[in-house]
Amino acid sequence: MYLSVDHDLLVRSAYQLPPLPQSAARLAHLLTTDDSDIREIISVIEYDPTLTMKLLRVANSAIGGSRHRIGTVREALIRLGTGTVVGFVVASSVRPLLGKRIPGYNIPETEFWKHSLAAAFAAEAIQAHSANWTGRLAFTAALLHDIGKLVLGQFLTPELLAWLERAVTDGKQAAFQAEAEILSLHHGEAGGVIAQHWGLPDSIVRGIAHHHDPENGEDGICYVTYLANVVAHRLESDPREERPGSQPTVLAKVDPALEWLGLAEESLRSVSDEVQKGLQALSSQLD
Amino acid sequence: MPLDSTDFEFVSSLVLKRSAIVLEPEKNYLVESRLLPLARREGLSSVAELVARMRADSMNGLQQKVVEAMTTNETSFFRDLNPFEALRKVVLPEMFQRRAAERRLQIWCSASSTGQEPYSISLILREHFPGFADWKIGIVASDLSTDVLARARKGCYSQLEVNRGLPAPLLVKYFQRQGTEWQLKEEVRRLVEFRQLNLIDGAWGIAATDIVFIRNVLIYFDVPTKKVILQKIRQLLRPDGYLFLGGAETTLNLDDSFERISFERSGCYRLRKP
Repeated sequence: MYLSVDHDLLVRSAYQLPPLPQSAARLAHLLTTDDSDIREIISVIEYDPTLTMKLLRVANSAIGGSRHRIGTVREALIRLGTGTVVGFVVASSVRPLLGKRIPGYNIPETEFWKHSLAAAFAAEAIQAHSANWTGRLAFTAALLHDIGKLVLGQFLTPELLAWLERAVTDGKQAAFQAEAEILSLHHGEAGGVIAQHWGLPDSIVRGIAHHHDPENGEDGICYVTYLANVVAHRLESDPREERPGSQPTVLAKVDPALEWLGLAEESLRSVSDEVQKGLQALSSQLD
Repeated sequence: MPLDSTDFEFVSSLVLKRSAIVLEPEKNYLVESRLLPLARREGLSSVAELVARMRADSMNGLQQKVVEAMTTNETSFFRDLNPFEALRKVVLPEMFQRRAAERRLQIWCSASSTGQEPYSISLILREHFPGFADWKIGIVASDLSTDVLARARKGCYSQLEVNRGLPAPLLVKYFQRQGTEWQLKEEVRRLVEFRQLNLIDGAWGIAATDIVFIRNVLIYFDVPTKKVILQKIRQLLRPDGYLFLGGAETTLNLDDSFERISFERSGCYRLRKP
């Protein structure tokens, strides 16, 4: 009835995205239980020699932070942590998708990938500093938090874009609120559908779907992805969501997320430093 | 093109009167974006023309369409959650106790749209009250639109629709994957009977009912019509029955026969004892 997006078409479009390699989804599921067997994780990675090689390269980069050369997947897991390793596996799988120009939103090729990586490193650092939350899926959830834009962007006609622009400038809405109001869904929800299609664990699905409205996500990971997204935007010199007169993400309230996660605001500086370090060390490894 | 201020005020006053929804001046773009498709369907070239037509004739049905365009939110499973928690924790246990002799329960969901509300009630019954499976429990779900009724009867929902409000354990237990969609199982669907019903028609054909859901529906009607609808509900609701309205709705100043009952985070209505 409104100027909106056809939900059925959007879901079908999400299902047409290339599937995630089974190994990536399998690894993510292995992390959902505390007693997952490291041997199983190792065997899934070692089954793919190219993946193994990429992982070792990353582990031996500045990210690994070790002078001792890492030569096995087991050593890489111990050095980097299982959550980060699985995140790298997923990152490696989705790099071709996230490195493209995003239609509709007109986000240039490298920018979307850099923002996704920045959020992933921020999530890892936030988790390390958090007094209240632990989990191993935050890196992956934050990496994929904006994946919904890949699909929703395809439906953004010039007319819809103009209405979204007015909702942001006249209505002082945040970008995702404008999407919900004008399109009756936002890119977080669209991303959740993609993550489900890829067979990723529920926690990752929620972290993606509710990275703008963590209070509705019923999962602490949503606060991590929310905060990680804010940190990533603050580090960007030309954030795509910023428009004159809008409610930019950089100014998004962080207090509720900080409180929920048991994080001091001062910690965000350390988080930002770790993001910068990660971006410098890693982005060339995965190109 | 932004609506001029007098036209915007006309629309926002109408919406406020009918639904208690406040539209601040910054929402000019929203009024325009919602009413432009309506204007086009009416063969008009602008929202200004639509407002002019509404002003010229208040009985042409446009006012209701405008209110609907400005207030319609898509339905979802367990929408607003709290009324369903009240139903599960207080209302149904009480009703099952009171109806123990007759072993039957009748529920009516008015303006059920694509069916998520009545199916949410059915899911609660199946999941939390399995011991009453041999009772005669009926959920009548009605709507004006035959299109949405046809969709609702199928009980088939997209991934986006099940993501909104449906707990994952219920999805796994009571739905089956069907291509890209999710089919609600027959054991849940069979409790619900869908019927076409126009609330402003003379006769509804709804039998004596224990629980009525008429949430976010009265907002579409003017005060005299709301009063008539509540009067008719009063006649079919059993003396100890419950009436659920939308979160921002009230019977206050409409019908004194109802009293509000508060629960933890929500409320509903019951007929006052004589």
